Amino acid sequence: MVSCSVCGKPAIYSAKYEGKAYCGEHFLEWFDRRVRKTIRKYRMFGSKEHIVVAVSGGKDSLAALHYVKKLSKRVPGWTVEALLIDEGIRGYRDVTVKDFKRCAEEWGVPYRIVSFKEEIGATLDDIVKKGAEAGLPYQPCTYCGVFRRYLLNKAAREMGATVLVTGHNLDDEVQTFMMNIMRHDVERLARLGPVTGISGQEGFVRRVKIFYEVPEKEVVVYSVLNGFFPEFVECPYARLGFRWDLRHYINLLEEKYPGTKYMILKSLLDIAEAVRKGKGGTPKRCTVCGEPSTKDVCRACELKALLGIG
Amino acid sequence: MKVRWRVLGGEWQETDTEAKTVGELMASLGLSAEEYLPSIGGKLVTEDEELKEGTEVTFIPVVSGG
Ligand code: SF4
Ligand SMILES: [Zn+2]
Repeated sequence: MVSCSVCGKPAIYSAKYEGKAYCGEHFLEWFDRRVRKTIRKYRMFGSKEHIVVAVSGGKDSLAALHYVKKLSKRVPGWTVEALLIDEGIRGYRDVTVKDFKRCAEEWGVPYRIVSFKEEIGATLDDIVKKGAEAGLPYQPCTYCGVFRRYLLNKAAREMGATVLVTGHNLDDEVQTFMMNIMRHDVERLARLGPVTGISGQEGFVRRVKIFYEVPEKEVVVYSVLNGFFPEFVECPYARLGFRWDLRHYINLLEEKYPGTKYMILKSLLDIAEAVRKGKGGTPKRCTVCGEPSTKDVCRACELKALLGIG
Repeated sequence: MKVRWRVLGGEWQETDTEAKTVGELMASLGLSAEEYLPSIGGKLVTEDEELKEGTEVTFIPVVSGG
C-alpha cells in the first residue's frame, strides 16, 4: 500500500510524474493549490468579473463549474453563470443536460441553454446527415467544434460575460496541439494557450482554461471525491474522430514515460508563442454575420453555406 | 485467485488471475492506468493496492467521449 506523501494515511492517487501520492484530503489540497497557481500565473481573473462557465454536462466542465463556483465565494466581485450549448445529439446530449441541470440547481448556479437547432438552423445529427449528402469531407467533431465555439462566444457576450471559462484540461490541449501538427494547421496551433481568443478584439470574450495544467485523470479524481462524477455516456460520434486514436497513443507514452504530457505542453507554449510573433493574423469581423473572425468569412458561416442551412 | 471487476456502467466479470495488485490486474486486462481509475468498495485506490480472493474492483473511465 502506498501512503500519502503529506500525512502518511493510505493514498488514493499517485502522481507518477512527480513521484508523490495523496490521500483524498491532500489530493484536494494539492489540486486546489495547482489550479490557483495556474490562474495567477496566467492572470485569468481580475477582482471584478462576470464569469460564464461553458458546460456540457460532462465531468470536465462540471468540475470547472464546481471549482469556479466554490472559488467565487471568496471573491465578492465575482458572479458566476453557466452556459450550455445543446448541439442536438440524440441519446447523448439529452442525458448530459440532465446531469448538468441537477448540479446547477444543487450548486445554485443560474444558467442558459443555447441550441444548434435554433441558432445555427439544424441539430448536429441533421448537420452530419446533410454533410454526408453534400459529400463534404468533414468529421462530425469538426462541425460540432466550429459551431460550438461560435455560439459560446456569441451567447457569452450576450450574457455580459467578462470571461468565459472552459473545462479543457492538460490532455485536451496536448491532443489538440498534436492534431494541429499532424494536420499542418499552424494557424490554429498559434491560437492555443491557457488564455485564448482573438485577443483584445471587440466582440470577443476572453476564454480561459483553469485546468490547463491538470491531467484529465486528476479531474476525474476531483469529481469522484466531490461526489458529482456523472453517469457515463459516450457521444455516438466520438470514436470517429482523429482525437480518439491520438489520445490513446499519447496515454500509452505517458504510462511508459511519465511526464510526457507536461513536456509536450511546454513545447506547445514555446512554439505557439513563436508562431504568433512571426505570423500574427489580424483580427477582423465576419462579413456575413459580424462575429469576430480571422478571415473575411468566419468558419461557421463558411460551413453553413456548404451545408445549405441557417 | 478469483477476483471480480467491471468498468463503471458495465457488467461484473469474474477473472481467475495471477495478479497480486490492482496494477497487475489492469495490465493483464489491457486497461491503461491513464484511462481507468481503480476503486474498491466505492473508494479510489492506487495501483499498488493488493488483491485478495473475491476482491471487487470497479474501473472508472477517465476518457469521456464528447
Ligand atoms: S465527440 Fe465530437 S461530435 Fe461528439 S460532442 Fe464531442 S466534439 Fe461533438
Ligand atoms: Zn494525506
